[in-house]
Amino acid sequence: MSTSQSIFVNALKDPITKEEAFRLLVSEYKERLYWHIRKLVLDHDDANDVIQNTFIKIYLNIDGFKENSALFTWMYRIATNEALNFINSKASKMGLQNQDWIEAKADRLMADSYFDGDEAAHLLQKVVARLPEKQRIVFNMKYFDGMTYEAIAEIVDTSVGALKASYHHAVKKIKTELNDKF
Amino acid sequence: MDFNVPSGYFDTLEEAVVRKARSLTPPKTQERKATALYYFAGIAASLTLVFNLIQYQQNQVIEIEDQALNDYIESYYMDNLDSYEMLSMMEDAEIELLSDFSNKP
Repeated sequence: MSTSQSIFVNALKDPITKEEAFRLLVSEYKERLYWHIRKLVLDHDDANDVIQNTFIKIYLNIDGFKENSALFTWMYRIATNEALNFINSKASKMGLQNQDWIEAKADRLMADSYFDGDEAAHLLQKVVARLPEKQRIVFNMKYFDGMTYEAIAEIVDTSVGALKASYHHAVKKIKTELNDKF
Repeated sequence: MDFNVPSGYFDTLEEAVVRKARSLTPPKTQERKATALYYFAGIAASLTLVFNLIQYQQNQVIEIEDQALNDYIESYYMDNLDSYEMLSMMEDAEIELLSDFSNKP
């Protein structure tokens, strides 16, 4: 952990400076975390709920952050878990499996006013939504966010080798489905 | 990017999150400030007490040392002095006092 990051974490833990440091944290990371969440839950209103829950969770648990990983890795992990818990909760309420709920969301994307993509982009989102949950997370982080396998490994707590295999399978599946459509 | 957000969304997001976080913590922050003040006051009082105790002990030591020196002079040193040596150590005023006594019948 870098010295500057340690100083920032200490400011987040100090009751006197916590609020100001937290404001800086939100300002710095809100967009990155939002887009990561948005690609998982697809819908803007859902992503808005999840990102707020994520930051509150970070605020309440920062004292327990032991600096074993980078601060952003820890935050990214919280965001990922909050998104998955959200999907799980929504799907359960509707009596659906997580996979079915997210596929239904992807099907309705073209009608979403906050989706700009064309037919090809929509198709890609539908195919990605059909991936198993972990493959979908890895694919989003690698393909859309451009993260390294090492960074993803820290966040999802999986080996780099397993991630490479997961991503390879995801890409193969997507290519097959897209080729079938076109 | 195929997804977008409402105009100004990220600015409102920041304010909403900070407001929510602020609503969670004010009493603890004030409590901790008061507690810190009590800690400092306690430490200051303890230091004052320790300092006074050290001063008192030092004064005691000086007094004891003076007393020990007087005891030595009276008990040991003076026993080995003859009257001529004793007189040589006394002030003139003290000798006159003695001579007053020696004239008593």
